[in-house]
Amino acid sequence: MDTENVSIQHPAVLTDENSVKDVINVGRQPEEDFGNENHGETDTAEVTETKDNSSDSQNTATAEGAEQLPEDAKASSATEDTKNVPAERKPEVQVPPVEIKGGVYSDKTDVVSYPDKPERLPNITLGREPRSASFKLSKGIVLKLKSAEEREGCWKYEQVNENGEDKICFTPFKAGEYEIPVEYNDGKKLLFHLTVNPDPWSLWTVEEIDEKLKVFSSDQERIDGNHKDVIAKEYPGLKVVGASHRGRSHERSGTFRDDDMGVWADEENGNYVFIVSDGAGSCRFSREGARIAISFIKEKLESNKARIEEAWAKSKITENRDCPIGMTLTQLARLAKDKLSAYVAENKEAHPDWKVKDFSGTLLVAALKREKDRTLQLVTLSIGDGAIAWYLGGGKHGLMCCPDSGEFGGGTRFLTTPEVWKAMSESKTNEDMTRAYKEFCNRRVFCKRFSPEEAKSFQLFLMSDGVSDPWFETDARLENGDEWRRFAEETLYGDGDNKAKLKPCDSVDVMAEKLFAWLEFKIAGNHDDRTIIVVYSAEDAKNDVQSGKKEA
Amino acid sequence: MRRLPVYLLVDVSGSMHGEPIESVKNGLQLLVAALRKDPQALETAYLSVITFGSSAQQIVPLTELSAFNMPEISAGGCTVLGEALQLVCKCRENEVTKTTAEQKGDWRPMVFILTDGVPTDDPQPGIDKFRSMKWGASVSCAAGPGADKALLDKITPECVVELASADQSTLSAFFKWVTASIVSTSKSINESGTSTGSMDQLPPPPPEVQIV
Repeated sequence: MDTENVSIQHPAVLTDENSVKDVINVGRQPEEDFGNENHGETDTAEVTETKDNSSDSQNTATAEGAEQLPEDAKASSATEDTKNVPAERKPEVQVPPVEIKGGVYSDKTDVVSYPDKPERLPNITLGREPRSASFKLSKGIVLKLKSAEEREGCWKYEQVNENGEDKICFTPFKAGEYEIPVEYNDGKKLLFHLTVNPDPWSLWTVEEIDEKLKVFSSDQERIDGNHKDVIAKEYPGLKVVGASHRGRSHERSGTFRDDDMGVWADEENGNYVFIVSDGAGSCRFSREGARIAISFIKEKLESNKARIEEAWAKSKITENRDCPIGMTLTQLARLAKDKLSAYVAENKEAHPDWKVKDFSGTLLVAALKREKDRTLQLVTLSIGDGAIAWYLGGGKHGLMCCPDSGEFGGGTRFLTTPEVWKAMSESKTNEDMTRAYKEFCNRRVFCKRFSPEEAKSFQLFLMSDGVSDPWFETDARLENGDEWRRFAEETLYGDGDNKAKLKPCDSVDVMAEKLFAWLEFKIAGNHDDRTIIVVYSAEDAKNDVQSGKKEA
Repeated sequence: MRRLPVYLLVDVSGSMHGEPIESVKNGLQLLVAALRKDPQALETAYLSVITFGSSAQQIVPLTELSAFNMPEISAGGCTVLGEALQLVCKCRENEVTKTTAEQKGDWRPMVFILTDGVPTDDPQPGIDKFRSMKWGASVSCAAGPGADKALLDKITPECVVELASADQSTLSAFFKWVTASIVSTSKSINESGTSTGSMDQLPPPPPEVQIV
């Protein structure tokens, strides 16, 4: 395999000295296997029915308990004796107090005469509906509150009449566990237990990066740049905006953003390449792996401008996935993988514990050619999750990447995953190698041509799974034109919560900043790094996706 | 949203009466209170409690952390561990969403089994059924010297832990470790989108909790 890069027969062979040297250097690097398992709940194992013993839930009693006063509470409220605890309770067991944000009410002297077992009100979560918990009262009964909590601003209460029912209604303002003693006007006493959860969004803190985590010189730049990255470029007939945002989970743990992105342009020939890499969250140096892979590919493109142009010239693409430009992208990805192996090998002495796997990341590459007649040609390559897609408006779209999940029945693949390059590594002859490249292209490369008319409303998206997962969730939805219409027209251009509020008349700088701000969207369960590149036509004036307005 | 289901199987046989069961309740309370402070666990983790004494009962169905309320638990009777294993499999089938083309299902459930004795029923059919499913992290805990560690090893060969006794401080340490395990699993599925369910993803247990 050490020589294939100089001998493989296709028009776009990159043969500058570095690439050859890199390949030779890393040819003997042991490649590790990734233990990828199926992580989700996909188990479909046949299981036989067992005897029905699932006594449904005594738990519902707690919810129902809030609705009416159970007998035992009435009974025990009559007695003043708190030592009268049920037999299974062992008071000698010291229960350490549960530490609660917002404070615990424990005015024990006041609680002496209250029932041992409090009435449970339904839990409340701050920032979510319902905002208050209520308890049904017997008609005409008035309550006197004994607690001082209200004054401290932890909650307020009011007695309301809803649909002819008298209710006491608690609205909390602070998280905590509250025991609220109340007294009826006839002297009976009640104790309410109210659990108030903090607003989940308030728990996301931003922590400083630990000095020990700074390993690469680029790490200081990441910190200096406040973990933010934006792209705002204008080229003849094209505008490019991109944004990369550190995920909340990384902010909270004080770790780096692992996503990276890049743009390369050869304006003279109308050749452009857009790259997104999502460093594997489980791999400690994936941020650097992503950075190295992208900057390496950009360097290679820059030093091979003429060859790229030649490859485009020979790529008469309609459906030809193994066209020369597809082969070139494949080769670039493979060289980038080798570059990472070489990098680890170079640092072997100083860092014997570094492994190629530590630098794992996905790779999304889109090469775009704008012909003189304004035709657009698009060739993409993808390894791993995330998405590349074009969009022409009205739900007319095309997914330009192979769905990753389930590709091998499980976890995602990375640039450094040996399995991805297996056929090439095992190739003995030039024919084998060429076949391996073609097979790779037929799996991972996509091609599409857009007429000058279509090119006017052309949009291209590259996104890491931090963006595609929350907005598309499944591969099926990624294939759905309605979903793309919603994303491209409503999510990016719409106004409101979690919308990017882009406007066609925005400058690329404004757009990039808006995209970056939008990447903070709040969708529960999605806190990964988020990266998106949007390429859109600037032919004529920019087509207004929503109203067809034209830019001045 | 993809949930992380967590099933807690708790022995409530007669031998757990008194301090052990009070400690379990207390541990459970601490677990819930701590998880509620972690934004990823608060969003992702769903808890269910299954008790087994003379019969196995799901006393808390799979419940979002924010809505979780401490159940009443009292100890007495024998130890139908086999029945409890059958029940957790059944609950999982009813409660855990499977992945389809249109929907990403829940993560594989985590299971923690706590027992201080020897099963009084025939555990084998339950073990067979339990083993026929793929779980996320599954851990059984021998609380005190009376538990059958060899049997627990058949249920969760991935991980069996042992407590010297079922007293307050030891059980509290166990529940803290369970809490940390849930936190680290919800963190890892959030950050890397994976949950291998292997032991090395769980934090190292405290000294009170010995890996068998």
